[in-house]
Amino acid sequence: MQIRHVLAALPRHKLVCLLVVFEIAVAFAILCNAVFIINQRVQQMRIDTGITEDRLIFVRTDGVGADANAPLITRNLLALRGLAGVKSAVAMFGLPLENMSINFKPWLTADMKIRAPSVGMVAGTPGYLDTLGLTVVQGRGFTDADYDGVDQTSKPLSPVVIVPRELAERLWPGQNPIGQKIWRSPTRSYTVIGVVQRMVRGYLREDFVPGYTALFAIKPVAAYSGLYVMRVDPQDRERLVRESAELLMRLDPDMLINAKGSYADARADYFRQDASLAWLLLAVCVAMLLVTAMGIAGLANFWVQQRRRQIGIRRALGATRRDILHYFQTENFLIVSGGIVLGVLLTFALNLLLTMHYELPRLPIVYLPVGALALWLIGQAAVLGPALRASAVPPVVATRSV
Amino acid sequence: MFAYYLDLALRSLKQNRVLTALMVLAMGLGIGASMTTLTVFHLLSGDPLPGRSGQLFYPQVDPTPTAAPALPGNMNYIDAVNLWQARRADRQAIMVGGNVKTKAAQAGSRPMSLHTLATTADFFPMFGVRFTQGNAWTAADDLAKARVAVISRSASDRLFHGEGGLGQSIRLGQWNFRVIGVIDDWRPTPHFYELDRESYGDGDEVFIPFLTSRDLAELGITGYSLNCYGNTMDDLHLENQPCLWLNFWVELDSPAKAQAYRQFLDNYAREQQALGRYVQAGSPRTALPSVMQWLDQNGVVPSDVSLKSWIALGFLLVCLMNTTGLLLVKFLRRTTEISVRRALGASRQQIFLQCLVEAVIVGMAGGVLGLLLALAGLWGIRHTPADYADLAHLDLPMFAATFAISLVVSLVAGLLPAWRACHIAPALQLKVI
Repeated sequence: MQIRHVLAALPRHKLVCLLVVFEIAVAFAILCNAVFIINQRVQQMRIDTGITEDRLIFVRTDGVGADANAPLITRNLLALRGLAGVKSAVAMFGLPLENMSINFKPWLTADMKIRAPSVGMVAGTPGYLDTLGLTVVQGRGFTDADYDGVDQTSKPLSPVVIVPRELAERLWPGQNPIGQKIWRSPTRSYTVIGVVQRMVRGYLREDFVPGYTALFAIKPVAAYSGLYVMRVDPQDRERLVRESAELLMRLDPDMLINAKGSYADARADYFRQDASLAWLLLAVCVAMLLVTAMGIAGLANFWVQQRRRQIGIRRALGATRRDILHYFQTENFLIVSGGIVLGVLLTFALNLLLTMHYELPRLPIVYLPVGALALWLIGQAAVLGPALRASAVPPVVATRSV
Repeated sequence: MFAYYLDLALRSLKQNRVLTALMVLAMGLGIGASMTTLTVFHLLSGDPLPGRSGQLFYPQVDPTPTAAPALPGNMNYIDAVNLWQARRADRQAIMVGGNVKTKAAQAGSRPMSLHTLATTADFFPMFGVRFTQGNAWTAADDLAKARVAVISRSASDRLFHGEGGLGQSIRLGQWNFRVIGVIDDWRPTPHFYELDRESYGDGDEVFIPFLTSRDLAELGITGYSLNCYGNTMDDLHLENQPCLWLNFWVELDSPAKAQAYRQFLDNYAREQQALGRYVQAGSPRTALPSVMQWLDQNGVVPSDVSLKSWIALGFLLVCLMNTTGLLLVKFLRRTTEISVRRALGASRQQIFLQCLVEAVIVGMAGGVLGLLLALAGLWGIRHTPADYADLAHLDLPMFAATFAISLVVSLVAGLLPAWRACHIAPALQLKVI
């Protein structure tokens, strides 16, 4: 009954109604796509790196320089381990998400015919798996005898490698990875001795699978002497970052410290662009919903004032306050619904544009009902004030000024 | 007449302060968000060398065994040196960068990591780099592998504490270089000539001759992205390794010369195929993009930046429709007033103008609010760790653009309401009074 009244009255101000419908449609399209993009970024930012992140700190230096200086690395590591609270310290390359990586495509056969997808290189001095908190789930870990130097092209001489389960399953599906071989050059092959659950590479790219890495065992060498990683208790992180950097500077006043911090800092730094986009989109969504709500409230307020006399007449003719309240609520519901129907089309059109230009996946359908619910609720909240004011119009208004 | 409209508009706006505030706020938020994101986009997508970039080109050849869809972004040593020595362009330079541990040669100075560019003599005149002291090295210095360096003013301040440093020695790694020139701080944005480094970061600080840097391979100047396409035997001495790591730029002063250089590149590639150095069969794969084409091909402006701009413009559209709706109800509410004015002789055109003036006042107030919000937004961006953070300032064109956009948006928002208002019939409404 109510809906028929409302529908009959809508065409009387169709221009304004159409405007609101379009506004809600555009807001709906932007809202759904923006929330989808935010969600995508948050998913990327929540990537599991496989290491015990909250217990790691790092100091990145310029390294020890010439090969002859390699003993300095051992000296530095011994000194770092001597700091109160440092459980272990290693020199390594390939900390997950450190914003650089060495990548190679290993060959799977000696004749160099079959090539694997790009793999990120990880290498570290004795004990680095434990420092990172990586546990071997199949095969064995590195023993002291496994650690060796590197060749002219910085490839590890040690002929063994440990891979994450994800890579093992991709390279040797359904087979036992232990004992399999990969080649990095015709003369340099590595035998898989163990599998870890997960380990993510230093730099992510669309054509890289994050979890495809290969872990090598190296002695302290000049080529990989820039990054010191220490395992500490979470509450000691800040103190030990400072103390370890100071210690290294004391040991070698000519050393350059290019970066230092807890692993959490490095990780946050890696995703700062994504975080900035997510925050901006969130701010725009909030502002847009606010503006839309204020717009709806402003229009409703105007309509209530314009129709005071009609409302009074309806009240005099027997309509209850509740009837008047429902009238405005129904009107708002219908307009917002119209906006949502048009908005669904716009949402798909916008999503299509975004998939073409920004490599965004297709929008899952579930965003539509959630977005619609949000706009309905906001519409109702915005109209509540004016509608209550309308319902408070006394019937006596009908008798005045006619 | 205009002053009268202005007076009427201000009265009307004052009459309903809440509605006016709502409209100004909506416009301000939309304009503020759009101008913040558009300013960043404008800064990042600009021409790094206005007036000069049209004559600069980036030759590309493909020595790799398999044809990837895109041509390699860098050159190997042999191709870069061959093309450099051919001297078929007006100017040409090889360049490759790296972070090098540097200090003033006198005892007791602290080392620092400086962006160092190994390049050849034409670099400075080709890119129009201005010297504050001294000069660039010569082509003869290049071939002689001279241990000379050009440093930026900021590097000279840091190394020599503001005493210039011309004629002094600096120590790169374990080798001394004599400073023969100091350049004015020079930071082309984006850092077009070597995109593998962060594209909007600081300019290079130390420049040394390329062949010298190969002589002293342990300096480790091998670029920021080493891409090898075959088996490598050595990753410091890259002269004979199948690795792409060098940038090569040429200056060609006329379209005819650019055309001739394209032909030269094709001939060069055929020659290399004949020699067996290039193993890909078929017609040679070469290209000669200009600066702006090269930036475009590499998608230098982060896609997030343009995405932000589009989202903000969408938001502005919502704000615009919002304001249109509010203006519409506002004008229609004044039906009686307008019909009286019409009955007293005001023409439709006059009513239309009067309404537009009111819309423009709202738009301009929104523009001022938007400008303040944009300044706040840019201030916020300057305090983020993005590599372009310190560039985020509102320049004069964007300042003007803010008001141009406010004007256009308010005219668009006011058009429909004003048109409706000027069609209010005079007589009909008079009866009601």
